Amino acid sequence: MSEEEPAGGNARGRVIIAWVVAPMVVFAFFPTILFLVIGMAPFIVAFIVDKRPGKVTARAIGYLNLAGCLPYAIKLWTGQNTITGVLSLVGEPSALMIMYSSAAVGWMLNFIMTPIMTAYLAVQHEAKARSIGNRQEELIKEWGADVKGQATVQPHEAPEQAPTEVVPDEEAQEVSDLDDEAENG
Amino acid sequence: MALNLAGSNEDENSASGSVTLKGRFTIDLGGAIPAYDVVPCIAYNASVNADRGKAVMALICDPMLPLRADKIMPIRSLETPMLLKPHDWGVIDWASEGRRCPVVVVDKPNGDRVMPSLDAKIRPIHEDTVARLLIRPGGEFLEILANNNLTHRAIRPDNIFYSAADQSRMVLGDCVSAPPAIAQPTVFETIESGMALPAGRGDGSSLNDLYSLGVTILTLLIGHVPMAGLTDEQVIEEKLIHGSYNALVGRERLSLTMMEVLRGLLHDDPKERWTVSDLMYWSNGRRQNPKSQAISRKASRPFVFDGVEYHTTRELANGFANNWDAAVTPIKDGSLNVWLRRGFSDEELIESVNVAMTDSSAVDRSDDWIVSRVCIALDPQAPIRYRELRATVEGLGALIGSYLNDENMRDLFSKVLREQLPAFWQRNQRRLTEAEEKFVNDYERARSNVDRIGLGLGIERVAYDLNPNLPCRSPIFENDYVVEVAGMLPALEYIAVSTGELKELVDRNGAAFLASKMARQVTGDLRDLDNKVDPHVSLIAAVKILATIQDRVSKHDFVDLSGVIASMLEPSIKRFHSRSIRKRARDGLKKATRNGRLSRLVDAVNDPRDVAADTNAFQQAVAVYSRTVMEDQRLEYEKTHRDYFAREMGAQMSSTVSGFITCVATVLIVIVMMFFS
Repeated sequence: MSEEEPAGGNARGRVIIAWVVAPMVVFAFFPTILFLVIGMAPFIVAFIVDKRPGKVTARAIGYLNLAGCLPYAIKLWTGQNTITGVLSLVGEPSALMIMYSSAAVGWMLNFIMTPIMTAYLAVQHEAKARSIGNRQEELIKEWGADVKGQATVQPHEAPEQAPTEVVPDEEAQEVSDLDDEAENG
Repeated sequence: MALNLAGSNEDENSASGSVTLKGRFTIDLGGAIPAYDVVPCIAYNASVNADRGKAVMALICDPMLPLRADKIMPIRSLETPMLLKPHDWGVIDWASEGRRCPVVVVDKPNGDRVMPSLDAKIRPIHEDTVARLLIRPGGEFLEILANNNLTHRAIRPDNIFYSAADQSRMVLGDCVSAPPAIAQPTVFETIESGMALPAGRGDGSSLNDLYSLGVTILTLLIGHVPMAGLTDEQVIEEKLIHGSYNALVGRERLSLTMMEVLRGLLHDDPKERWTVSDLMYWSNGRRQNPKSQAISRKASRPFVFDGVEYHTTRELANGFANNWDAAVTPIKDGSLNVWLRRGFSDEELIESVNVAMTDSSAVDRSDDWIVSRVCIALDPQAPIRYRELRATVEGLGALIGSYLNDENMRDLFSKVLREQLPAFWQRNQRRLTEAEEKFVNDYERARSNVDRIGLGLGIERVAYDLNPNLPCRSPIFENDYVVEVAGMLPALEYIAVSTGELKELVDRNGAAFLASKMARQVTGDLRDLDNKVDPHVSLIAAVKILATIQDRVSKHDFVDLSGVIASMLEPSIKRFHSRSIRKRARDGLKKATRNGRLSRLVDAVNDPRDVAADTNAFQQAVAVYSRTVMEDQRLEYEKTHRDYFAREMGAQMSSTVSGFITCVATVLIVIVMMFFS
């Protein structure tokens, strides 16, 4: 019960925001909201598409998309802050191109970073493996094979348990999904 | 017996060369002199290094029998010409037996043996000659022995020599090279001592020597051993039935003078037997009334047991002892009781037999227990008898010393102590000497140890406690003769040099031997020696015990022994997990080996700080290794799913980079639009 109360409180707060505050904001800043909905359409799409916890891909796109929209938003606020003003702004092909291009840069970053991180991890894993091997070798040299103790029987049992230590709980499911995908080809 | 006297002739022992004993005597290994062999020893020519003219000989002793080593010094210091005096003893290599043997250096007689052997017949010696050469000097000698609380216990005609070629003087042979009376034929022993096994006769008293002297005198007077041709049992039966004097003298014709001395010396009642004073009186010409032989009270009608008629309780007790298994029937069916009541009307005797048959503790006792106690009650003077075990109360300890490797005798001895037969024997005595009382008390104390199974305890401990002269019976020293703690390390060193290896350092026998000699110093280590769980603890305890001996007793360096022990300790080094500690221990062992100090060997492999540090550090190392294994597993997992992790990290990185870019761009845009548009 005590755990459900805050959850219930949050849900109620969200309901209030969704049905009271949000309509009021939309009503008060309708031109700006309209402008952002049109200008940040790539982010909205990415947000919907991105199933990753934390929506990191969508965030990468969204940040740059926002940077692209910001000059036009300032222009809207300092100029004709109406629906007409919004339509005239989005009617400029260069404005839309800049806003959407900045979102594209976010996509580009996402694509570039994966192979970079793959290469980085390969080097890091190699260094780690060497370091672990050296440490084990030193231990065996000093203490003999007995130092392995019960540890020698674990490698075959451990991989199923390791993800809980490696990735957060919410990611574990995804990892196992990935494993399933790999097994199913 | 390891030595064969039959082989001690000059032809077979023609090996040349000599061996030096303690730097003082030289023993000629090619100089066997069978004419002076003394059962169970063989004689060799020897010389005193400091005085080549002195006539001495070496008696190579049976290594399976304990010498009377503690008697050598007191006997050497006696002022008497009547004995071939022992000078010293030691242990030498004896190649023909392939082992080391004890040797006693004694005076060498200049004349022949008085009687070549006990089987021989010689010309009877005139009584005056016997009186002049044997009785008087023999009496004086026994007086000196008695005054020093010593006994000879080997007085018999083949152990008497002429001390000069003109046969003007007789001298008694060696008496220290074997346990007391072990080589004495039954006929030369009192009835009680003759009933006991040769190894169980004990030191006895001067009365035993006087009896032997009496039989020896008789032998020389008649020219042959009396009662020759009879078995030991028949000799005892004859003595029991007729009394020693009558049985031994029989129809031989003796002068009244000789009858007087023999009646006195061969009296069966120790209280009535002549003492050395009586003998000296007689020697001085003061004649005494001949003592009549005590006649055992006979029953009005005989007791028939196993087809034989017995008239006295002593005879019957002897009959029971000789037919042990059948004895229980007449005891239990009451026929013995009836015979005692009708035949003797001696309430005290009947009461003591009844007490022997019943047990106040109401424990279900064995038939052997009853027979043994009834034999004691019927004949309190006789030795303690328990099936094959027969020993005087003084000789009981010596008996187990000689039969320590005989399982049957060990079992019987344990039962005798457990069933407190010495104490029962004591209760049946009218008169008890101080020595006998001391022995009974010793057995009572030994009873607490006899059934204990720990190292340094048990029947072995009892045997060594009761026999200070008993050599260590450990199989480790089966080819050596170790009778003192100080001899243990040299013996081990000898084995190390000759064989280059040792299978064991201290075994059960060795532990008991050491516990008996130096209990206070080794008790703690003996407990560790008994550790069956960790062989390293046991081995290190053994080395610690030897180190204690070296530090406290031997005080010499033993380099070869240290080398062998170091190789034995090698596995103990492996109990250290750390290779660096192992290396340090190995270096320490090498160094200690060069020094020959056993305590340093122990220090090298048993430093408590090293042991504790190694244990703790090893546990930590195992934990660290486990962590590396976990890390390795995680790494393997990350490698297997590298694409996934790359995507995840790439997304995070791109999000971070884009966030950073956005921040910078926002600031720039705001600045530009505020100030430049």
